[in-house]
Amino acid sequence: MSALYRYLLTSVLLSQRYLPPTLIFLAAMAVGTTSDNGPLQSSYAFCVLAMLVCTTWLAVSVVNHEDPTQRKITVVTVGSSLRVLTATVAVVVTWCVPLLVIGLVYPIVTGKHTVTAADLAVGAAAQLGAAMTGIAIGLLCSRLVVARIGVAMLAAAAAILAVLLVRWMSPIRPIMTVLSDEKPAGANAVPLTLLAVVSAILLTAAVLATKVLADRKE
Amino acid sequence: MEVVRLRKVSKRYGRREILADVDLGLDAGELLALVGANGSGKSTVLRLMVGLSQPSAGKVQRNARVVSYVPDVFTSHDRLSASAYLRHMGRIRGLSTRAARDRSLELLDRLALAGGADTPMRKLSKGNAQKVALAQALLDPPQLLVLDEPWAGLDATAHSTLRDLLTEAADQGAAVAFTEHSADVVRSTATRVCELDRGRLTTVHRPADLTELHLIPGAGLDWDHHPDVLDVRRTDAGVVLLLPTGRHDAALLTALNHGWSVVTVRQVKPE
Repeated sequence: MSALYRYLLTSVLLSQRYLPPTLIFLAAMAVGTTSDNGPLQSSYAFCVLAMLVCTTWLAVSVVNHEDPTQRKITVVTVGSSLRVLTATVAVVVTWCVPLLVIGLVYPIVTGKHTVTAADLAVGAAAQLGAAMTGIAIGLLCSRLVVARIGVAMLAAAAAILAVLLVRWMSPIRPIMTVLSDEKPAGANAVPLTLLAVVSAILLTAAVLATKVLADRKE
Repeated sequence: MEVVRLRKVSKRYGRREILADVDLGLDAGELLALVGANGSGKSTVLRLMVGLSQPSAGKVQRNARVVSYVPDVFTSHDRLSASAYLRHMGRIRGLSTRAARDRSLELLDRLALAGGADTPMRKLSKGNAQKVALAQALLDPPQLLVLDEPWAGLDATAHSTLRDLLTEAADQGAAVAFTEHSADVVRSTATRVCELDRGRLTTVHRPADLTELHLIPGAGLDWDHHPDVLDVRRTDAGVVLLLPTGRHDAALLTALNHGWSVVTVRQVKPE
């Protein structure tokens, strides 16, 4: 599995497909959180939104990176499409780690906030939850499930809007509600951790659903 | 030892039936050629063998741990070089870094691609990309080696090298299955030939059981779409048809009834 992960990571890094969503994330951070003097958790709510869009795009880019025929070879070599998909998700999650660190640190560096360890924990849990939800959407809108890129883009945009607007459709809306309720970070740590766990479950379900739907097309 | 067995396998995509009741086994050391017209289901059989596709009915039993697959067209937009890609594939197969590197270079050398080893995959020509696909399949001695039209796009040197590589793999105990349209290649490589006709396995025979008819044309006959004809070759002196022995009588009769003349009828032996 580690050899497969290294192969996919190297291939994606050389492709530079991670650049557009990363630049969008950085631009969103610069526009939305620079010189923000309000509550830190409100800045993190904006980071959640940026992370959701960025990880959806990133997941689609990384999954679509391998050509279909090349992917068939990889699947046969590894012996399981689920393992290939899991390694692909691991590559996306790896790239999310530096973004998450930037999302945590950038608002602190550029704004005027009183920072506690609880604030950082809450910000990390919230952005992790957003990242996993974004990856889940990206998987289900990737070429493995939706063959046409135009349809996939529309589906991804619709899914992002849906998870932002519909209250209990995903953990995103509850995460943003919790971050905006102006309670102290310590009080929000437990619900946000639980929401991150729900996001992890959602991502696992998306991986399995993508595997089943992709296999059915063969 | 039987490496893979398709038992009464059918495959449907929606209402379209691709395969019907295919019963086919493949033994270690065997070189099986699947022949048939375009759309007859050959590639589907191969995908079922390696587990890329699941049957709609029936069962596929595989007794192989190391499985290799070469698709009909290998495309890549990867910026990885050919040698780096092969090293990664070798590592995924469990080879050490050194073994993966050495074996990659050896295969690239044999396939006359050593000079292009550092070329990014996305810049490889169709033929060279095909060589990379073949090399990855042979990195680790496979127990089951499945290739979809592997000779497509290869130059003459690589053509014969591939035949040697497949024979070597079979000699080492691999069960090899491939599709191919060229009767010459089938004759010179396969130890068994299976013919598919619109999703049904119609004939299983040895290449030695093929008959070549050399005819001089008479009235119009469409041999290209004749169900028994495996290959049609047009020469200055007429038309050469390749058919399974036993089926050639009917074709011969048809030809004579349409005013065609027979030059030779000969049983074809493997080269």
